[in-house]
Amino acid sequence: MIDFFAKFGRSARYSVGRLGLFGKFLGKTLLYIFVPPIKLDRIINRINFIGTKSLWLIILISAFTGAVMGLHGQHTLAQFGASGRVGTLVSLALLRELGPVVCAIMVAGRAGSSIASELGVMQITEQFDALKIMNLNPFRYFMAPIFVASLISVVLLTGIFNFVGIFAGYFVTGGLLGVSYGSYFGGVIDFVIFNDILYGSIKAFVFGGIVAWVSTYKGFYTGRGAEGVGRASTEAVVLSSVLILVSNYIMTSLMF
Amino acid sequence: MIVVKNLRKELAAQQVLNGVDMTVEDGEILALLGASGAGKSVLLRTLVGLLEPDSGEVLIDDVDIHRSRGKELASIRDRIGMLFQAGALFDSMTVYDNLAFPLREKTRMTRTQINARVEKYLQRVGLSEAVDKYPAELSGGMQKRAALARTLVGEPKIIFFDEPTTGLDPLIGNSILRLICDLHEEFKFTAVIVTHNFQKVFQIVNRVAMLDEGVIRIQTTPEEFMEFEHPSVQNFVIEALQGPLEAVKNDSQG
Ligand SMILES: Nc1ncnc2c1ncn2[C@@H]1O[C@H](COP(=O)(O)OP(=O)(O)OP(=O)(O)O)[C@@H](O)[C@H]1O
Ligand SMILES: [Mg+2]
Repeated sequence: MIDFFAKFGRSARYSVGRLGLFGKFLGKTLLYIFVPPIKLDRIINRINFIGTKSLWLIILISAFTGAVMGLHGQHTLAQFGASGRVGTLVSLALLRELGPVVCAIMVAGRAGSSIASELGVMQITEQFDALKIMNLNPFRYFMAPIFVASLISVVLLTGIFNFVGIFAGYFVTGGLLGVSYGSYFGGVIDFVIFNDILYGSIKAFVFGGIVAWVSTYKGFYTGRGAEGVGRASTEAVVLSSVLILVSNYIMTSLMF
Repeated sequence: MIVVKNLRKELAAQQVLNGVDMTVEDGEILALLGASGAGKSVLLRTLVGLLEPDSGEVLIDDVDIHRSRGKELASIRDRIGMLFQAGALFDSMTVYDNLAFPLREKTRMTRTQINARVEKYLQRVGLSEAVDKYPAELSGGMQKRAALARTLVGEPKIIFFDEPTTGLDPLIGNSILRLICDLHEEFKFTAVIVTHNFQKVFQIVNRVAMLDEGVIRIQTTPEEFMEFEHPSVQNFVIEALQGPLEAVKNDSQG
């Protein structure tokens, strides 16, 4: 029994320590975003990297998400004689929830996992040690630029996701089910308010930060060897996704 | 000057360093010997501040590297260079950028000055042709030389070399030692060279230290080292002189 408590205490202390480290890591990253010299070229490179990794996937998924929602929405709403409102349904669902959440999870899967394995390989091949010997801070050259790039990328990609999704919804309902252009986009314009776009973007911004934070942390504190790096990259995706879903619930309950 | 006092470090329940005492004089080259797994790399990593010791101190020009922070630590780090055993080249950068990066970030050198400096050192390690290659596109030996050039390019005052010639063919290995020796005459840096291959290295070093069972068994001149009456040292000398196969044969005979 005592043994159990001792073990429990030890593992609790370990977890709390880890959590502290995780928090401090974010603090340092945020700090180095603002401490000059700021590495603009590195930020742009990273946006490029995250963008090219995820853009086509985002377009594909958003098109099918919008299309499927259009189909379902149309069938369901028609039963209540409200088929004119399908544009409202698709656009609100995308802007408020699906756009930021699905987009961020996709970015976590594509770019987040490769960031974690990139930094993980750097760690096990002593590249961060070499930086340290040179008296250069990895947060300035890696964590901070990745963080800023991820914020910008996820917001932009979410915008693209929503845009493509809303049009895909129209193509399905308008093209196949005969909803008119006017009634679909009327439903969008009449019911979407500026706050929907703003709140959706705030969510995307937060999710972008989560993806960067988790992936750089998991990569930097990777386990040993190729197996450790593989695990770091998987854990980066899983933990990012969980944190995205949890924080989305919290933000939704505060916002709407 | 580097003074190491009673350094202890335990890793994975194994006492790797068990009270290491050692000094490295200004401007000298010290060879650090020891069997594989003796803890040479761990000792180097502790000397440069990558590993925290459990106890003991490392004084670099009278300042304890493990107790200094901020500007003081930065000033020590600026004097130190290290060649990692596996190179530790930045794999996202070309060979050129690997060398230019620390110069760009830490010095006020102009683009032309950096260019000249990088080319000088790449030429001296025989890698002028490979400037635009990425580390993954180089052979193991070329990576080692690129890493050596990156260590030297900032012209640090104190340099730690973790096995600079391991994995190179004898010809290139010799030329690397020659290069270290020439540069030492030019810049008078302080150096610690970890190596197995001490016959070659003995020609360029002032003193030798041997790490054995977690302590420095002996620190002396190359000549005295060869004569030192201690089983670990004698075994090491015999193995190195005869080659491993001979030593194994001798063991099985007697
Ligand atoms: N990060 C670590 N965690 C646990 N044990 C370690 C770690 N690094 C090294 N060791 C152990 O410390 C001992 C010394 O390792 P070290 O790499 O210093 O040997 P070495 O003298 O440099 O050998 P070699 O000549 O083969 O490079 C080894 O037994 C190794 O298993
Ligand atoms: Mg070693």
